[in-house]
Amino acid sequence: MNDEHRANTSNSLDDIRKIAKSPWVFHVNTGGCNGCDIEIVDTLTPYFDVERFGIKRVSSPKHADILLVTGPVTRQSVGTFLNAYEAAPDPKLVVAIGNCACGGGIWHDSFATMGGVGNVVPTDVYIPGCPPKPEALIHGILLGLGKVEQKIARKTFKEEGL
Amino acid sequence: MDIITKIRSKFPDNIIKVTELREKTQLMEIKKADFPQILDYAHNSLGGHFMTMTGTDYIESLDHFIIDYILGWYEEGVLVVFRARIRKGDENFPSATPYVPCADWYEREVKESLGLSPIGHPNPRKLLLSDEWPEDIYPLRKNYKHDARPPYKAEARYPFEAPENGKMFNIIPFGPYHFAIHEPIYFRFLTNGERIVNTDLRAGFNYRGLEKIAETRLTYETIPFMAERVCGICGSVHAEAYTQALEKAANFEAPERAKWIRTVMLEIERIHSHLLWLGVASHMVGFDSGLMQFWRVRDKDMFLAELLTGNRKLYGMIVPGGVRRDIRDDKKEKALKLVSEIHEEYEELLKATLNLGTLKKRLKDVGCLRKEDAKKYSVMGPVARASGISIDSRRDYPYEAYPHLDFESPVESEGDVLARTIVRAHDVLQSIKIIEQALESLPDGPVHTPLDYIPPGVTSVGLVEGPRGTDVHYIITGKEDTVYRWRVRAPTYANLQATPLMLEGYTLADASIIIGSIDPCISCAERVLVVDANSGKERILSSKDLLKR
Amino acid sequence: MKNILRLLKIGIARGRVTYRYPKDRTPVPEGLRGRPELNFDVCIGCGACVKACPPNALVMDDHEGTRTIKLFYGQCIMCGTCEEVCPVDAIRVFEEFELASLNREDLEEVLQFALVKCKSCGNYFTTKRVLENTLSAYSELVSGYGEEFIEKIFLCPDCRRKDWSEVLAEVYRGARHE
Repeated sequence: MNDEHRANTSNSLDDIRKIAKSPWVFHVNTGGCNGCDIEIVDTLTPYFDVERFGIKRVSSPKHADILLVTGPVTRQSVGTFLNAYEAAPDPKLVVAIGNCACGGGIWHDSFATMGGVGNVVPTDVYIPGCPPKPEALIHGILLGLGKVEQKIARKTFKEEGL
Repeated sequence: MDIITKIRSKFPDNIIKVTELREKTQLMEIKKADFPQILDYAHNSLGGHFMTMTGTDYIESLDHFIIDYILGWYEEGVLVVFRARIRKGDENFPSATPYVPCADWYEREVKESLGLSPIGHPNPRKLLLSDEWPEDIYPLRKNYKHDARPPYKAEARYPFEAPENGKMFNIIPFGPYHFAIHEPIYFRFLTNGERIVNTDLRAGFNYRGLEKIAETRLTYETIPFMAERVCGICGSVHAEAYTQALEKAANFEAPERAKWIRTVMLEIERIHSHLLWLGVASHMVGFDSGLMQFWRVRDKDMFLAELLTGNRKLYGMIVPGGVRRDIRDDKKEKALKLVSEIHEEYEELLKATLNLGTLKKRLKDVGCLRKEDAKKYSVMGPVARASGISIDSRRDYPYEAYPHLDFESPVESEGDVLARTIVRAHDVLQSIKIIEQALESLPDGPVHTPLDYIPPGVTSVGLVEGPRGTDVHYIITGKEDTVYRWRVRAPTYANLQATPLMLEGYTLADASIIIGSIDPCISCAERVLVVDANSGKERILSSKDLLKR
Repeated sequence: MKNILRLLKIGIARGRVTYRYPKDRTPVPEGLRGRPELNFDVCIGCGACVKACPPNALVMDDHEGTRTIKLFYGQCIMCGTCEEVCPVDAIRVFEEFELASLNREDLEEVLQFALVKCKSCGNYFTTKRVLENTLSAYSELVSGYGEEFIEKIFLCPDCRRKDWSEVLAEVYRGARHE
C-alpha cells in the first residue's frame, strides 16, 4: 500500500520542501493516550511558540500541508484516518509522533490496533519519545522541511569472527 | 456492617454468602436472577454509588463465568462486591439498566467482549469494539490470543438511532476530529434550528485492548508502565490505583517515605490537569488569552515534574513496593521554590479571569445537571461536587499520606459550567497546599521494599481520586506472576453517560463547552474494545429512552 | 473593563518567556530520561534487558551460531527498566531527546554475538561472553577445584542437570551399600 501510493503521486520530499508558503498543520489522533497530542498543543504556548515559524493549526485537512499523526491506529479509527489522509492535498508531509505512531508502542501486538502509522500510510518523519518534548517536535518538523540536520544514525556492531 | 444488615433484612432468602475480602470491602454472592431487585434497592434506596461492573472467564478451570457489580458508599467508606455465577451454556443475565440507568455501558461492554447477553437491555449495540469486528469473536475470553487480528473490512456502519416517525430534525455531526477536542469521539446532535433536541454518541476510537495484554504478555512489575499510558494526562492515577489494589491483595504496606512521595506526584498531576482544562475551556469559548496564560503557568509545573522524575508526564515513578526515585534535599528546595512561584502567578491570573463579565455570561446557566440526575447516573469528581454532592475519595476512602494532611473539597450547588469551573479552580489551590505540606514533612527511610508473595485468586479493588473523579481498578490475582483479570474504570466513563442530559435544550454554540466541562478523557474511558452486530438501519435514541426506568 | 486591563498588566509584567529554539538551548534538568544506549564493549549478550523491556523495544534472535540483539528507539518508552536489570552496566539512559529521523532504519542499534555449543549435545545455548564473564566473576571461588569441575560450565542447562543427577545417584547408591 505504501510504496505504490508513493510512486503514483507527486509527493516526494523535494516537492514538499519547494512549497513557498508557511506550512499549515492538521492534527490527527488515531487513538492514543493524548500525551503526544497535548505536547503538540504545548508547542503553541508562550514558552515554545511554534507560530514564530509561520506554522498554524487548521481545522480542516483540506487546508493542510503537514499531517501530524499520533496514536497506534486503532481499528475503529482506520476509516476516518484514511479519509483525512486522502483529503489533504499533495504534496504533503506525514509525521509520526511518539512511539505509538512510530512502531505501535506498548500495544504493538494488540488485537485492537494496526501497529503504527507506517503500516497504514507512507510516513516521512519519525519522532520517537513517550511523549517527545516540544523541542523534539519542533526539531522533527524542521527536519522534514529541510531546515535542520538529523542527529541520529544507525549503529551496528559485530563480534570478531562472525 | 450496616449496609449488609439492611440488605440481609430486606432480602433474607436471596443471599448465598457474605465474606470479607479486605478491610471495609465485602463480597456478597447471590443468584443472577436477583441482580435487578437487589441493585435497585442498594443504589436507589440505600444511596450507593455505582463504581464498576465486570465479567471474568473461568470456563476452562471451573466451567462458569462470574459477573461482579461493585457499589460504594462514600460516607461510610465501604465497598460491596455483588457476585453471581453464570453456567456454561446459559450465557445471559437479567439486565439492571431499567432500574439503574448508569449500568448501561458496562453491560454492553460485557456483552461484546465476553458474549454474556443482558436480557432486557434497551440498547445492546457495540460500544468499544470496531464496527467491522466479527460478531462471534469475543476477545476477552481466555481461549482468544491477544495478538490474533481478523482481516480488516471497511464496509460496516454503526447503527445510529433515527428520529421518531414524522418529525423533521437536522443531524449535525461533532467529531471525530474536532478542533476543540483533542481526542476522537463522534457525537451526533439532532437539532431543531439551533436547539439541541437529542444526542447520540459513538465511542471506541481509543480502544487498544490493554486488559488482554496485561493478562498475557506482562508481569506484575511491568503493568504499571502500561497502566500509566492509558491516559497521558492522568497517568499516575491509574498506576496508583493498580498498585493500591495489588498491595491490598498482598496485605503489604509501602514504606512511609514512598507514600509521601506518591502523594506529591499525584498532586502535581492534579495541578497540571486542571490548568490544562482551564486553558482549553477558555479556548472553547473564544478566550485565547486564557489559553496562553494558563498554559504558561502550567509549563512551570511540567518543569517541576521533569526535575523530580525525569519526564514531563508519564512519570514512571509509582510501582508495587514503593517508588523508583528518591527526592534529594537540593531538589526538594528547588521544588518548593517552583511551587511558590506557581502559586503566586496562578492567584493573580485567577483574579483577573474569573471576574470577566463576558466569560461569566458564556459559562453561567449552561449545561445544568440537577442533583437528582447526578445521583441517578453516579457521576464523579468535580461534576458531582458542582451539583451539590460532596464526594472525595481522598477524604472518604483514605490512602497514602492523605490522612495526615490538611485539605478541603469545595462544593457548589448550581450544577452549571461556571460551578464546575469554580470547583476546579479551587482544587488547584488545595493541591498547592498539599504539596507544600507533604514536601516539608517528608519522613526518612527507604523508598522501596520488594513484595515477596502475592497469593493467587484474590479479588481486590483500588480507589483513587483523580482530577476527573474516582478511578476504580479491580483485579483478580493470577498464578503466573501476572493478573488473571484487570478492569480499569475511569471517571469519564460514568460522566459521559450523563452528557446527553446536559446538552438537551441548549444551542449548538454551547455544545463544545458543555462537552468540555466534564473534562472528557476519552482515552481513559475506552481501554477496551467492543464487538457486535449491526442491523444497518439508522435509529436515534431519544433522551426519554436513556432515562427510562 | 478593569479585568481586561489587569490581564494586560500581567502579560506586560511577565514579559516574553519564549525560548528561541533551535537557536537557544532550553533548560534541561539533571536526570532527564532520554534515549538508552548499549555499550558493545561491555555487553555480554545475556538478554536480561530483552526479557524486562515492557514494550519489546529490545528483541533477541538466535540463528545459526549468532545472537542478534536489536534496539529500536521508535518503540522505547524511556522507562529505564533495562538499566535497572543489566548485570554489567552495559545499557544506560542518556539525556538526549532530539531523535527525529527520516527513515526507520536510522532508529535501530544492532549488536551481534557469537554463540557457544554445548560440549555434550552440540546445541547452541549461550554466548561466549556470558561464559567468560561467569568464569572471571567466580574465579576466586573455582580456583581450588580441578579442570573437570570448570568444564561443567560448558554444558547446556539440560545436560548439566543430567550430569549432576548421575553424580547424585552414584553417591546415593554408595551410601546405601554402607
